Amino acid sequence: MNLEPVIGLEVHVQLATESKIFCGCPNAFGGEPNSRICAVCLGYPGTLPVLNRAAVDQAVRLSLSLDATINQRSVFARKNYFYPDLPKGYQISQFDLPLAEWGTLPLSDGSALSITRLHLEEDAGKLLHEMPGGGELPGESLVDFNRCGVPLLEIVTEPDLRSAGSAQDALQRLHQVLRFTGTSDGNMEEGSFRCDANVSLRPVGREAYGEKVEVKNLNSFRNVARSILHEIERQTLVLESGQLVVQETRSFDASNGTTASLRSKEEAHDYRYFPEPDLPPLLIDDARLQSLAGALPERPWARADRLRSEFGLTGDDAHLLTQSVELAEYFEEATKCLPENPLGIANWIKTEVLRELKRPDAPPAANWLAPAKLAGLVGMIDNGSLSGSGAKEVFAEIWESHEDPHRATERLGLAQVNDEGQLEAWLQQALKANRGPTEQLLAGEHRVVAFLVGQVMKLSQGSADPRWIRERLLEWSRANGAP
Amino acid sequence: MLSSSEIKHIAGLAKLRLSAEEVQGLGADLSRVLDYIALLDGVAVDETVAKQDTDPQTRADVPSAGLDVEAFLNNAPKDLDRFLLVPAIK
Ligand SMILES: [Zn+2]
Repeated sequence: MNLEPVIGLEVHVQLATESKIFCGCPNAFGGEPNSRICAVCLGYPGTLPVLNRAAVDQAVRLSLSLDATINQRSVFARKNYFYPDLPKGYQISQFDLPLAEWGTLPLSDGSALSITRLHLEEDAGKLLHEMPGGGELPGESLVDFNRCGVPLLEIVTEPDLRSAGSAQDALQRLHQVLRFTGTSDGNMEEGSFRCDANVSLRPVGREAYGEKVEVKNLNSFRNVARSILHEIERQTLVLESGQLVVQETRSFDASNGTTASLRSKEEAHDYRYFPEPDLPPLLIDDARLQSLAGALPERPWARADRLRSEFGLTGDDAHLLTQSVELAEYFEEATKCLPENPLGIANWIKTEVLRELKRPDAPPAANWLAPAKLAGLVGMIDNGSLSGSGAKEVFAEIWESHEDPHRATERLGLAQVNDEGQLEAWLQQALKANRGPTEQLLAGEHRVVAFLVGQVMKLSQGSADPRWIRERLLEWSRANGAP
Repeated sequence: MLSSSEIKHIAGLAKLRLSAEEVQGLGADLSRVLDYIALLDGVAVDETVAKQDTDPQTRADVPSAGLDVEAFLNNAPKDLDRFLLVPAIK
């Protein structure tokens, strides 16, 4: 049996706002447990939710960035379920009439993934099953409501992905979009970008979908790919042994790369959705929609195109430099300090900077070497005051210390003398002091060039550019009769 | 009239364990409640909704102080180190 995987994604994105979606509690991460709570997000009787306009704006921006159609009238709904992380006993979400529908996410291979819907909702609180320090907590759980009411945009894609790799790519592209548009901080460790994958298999050529499994608890791009690979393998074995895949929710265990059943369909929730009576329908008029669309931040693919046309980067380099918004900003900032050599800056970022950023202990963008200092370093190579290899040494020295590149060059004694009068004087001195080799050079014996270059370098205490010396020696010998 | 299996389903979603008599009694009660609410089906509410549509209540994105953790935990049966403490969820 030739089986093909059918994969769709559900992503929860925490929107970047100052306050929660229906109350004034700060939207933040960390801090003391239950330090950002109020009567509204705790669902106390008699309270009413009031919608945060900025949450709507961010959700519309992200939806527009994915070319989705905004429903100018959408409706909030109650999703009812009992769980200790949900004080009201229901989550305010959207159901029949979501904020936006039918978007498109361009993928790296040139194809596009259709987005079914994007809807606004509130986040739930957080349950801890052991003490924060790691101690056991038998028979009980801790509840922290700080996350309760944080604005979320849930993004649901069509089941059009056919491999773990393309699912990972789709998530990375989506993450890129929200970072470039500033609609979320996208921090996966802090839960700002959470992903579930729906995976099923069907015989190639058949249109109907197989029983699907929803995999939860995917906290990194790599784990999304790993969990899907594992599900494909597991479901293939089930089907090939003549059994049926059970429709269920499974949780991914990153420690061994497998999934385990959380709950089967029989126990699946019945959410009894109904329109939220405490909130009016969400209306977005033409003027607001146009102003949001008009001020939409540049999307990653648009930025890559602009880097190509504005700075003459190759497609590959533009793609590389727009892999994160921080890197794109870094490149453009450095270019502002050295507008005459954007390609040189691009090369340095591609090699030296990216090598540093690939280290496991790489600093966050706020602690990268200032772009002006990188530009300063490239500028020193360009004006001949530092050799390429010297510059690499200086870079390695200042990446962490943030020392000024000129000062570091001096301190390390790597400054290259490009005063031609001084260089010429050292060269003549070396020729006079080495009569024999000089005769040989004039006779056309080029093997002595390296020796003479070495003598000049010695006189200059390493500050001369050996390439310049070599060329000048050959020029001098020809001018003095060498063949 | 709600069937007893519907009553049991709803009770399950509300995490309630009902005895056979309670299922019987609640079936009759809930059905009467639903019949009463069904009166709304005969009322035209479109105009009310339309009025709401033109007057959306929203707020600016300004954080404000909320509830003190002590005030919150005073309402809780059990707490530990600023957390609410609940029976473990399996
Ligand atoms: Zn609140």
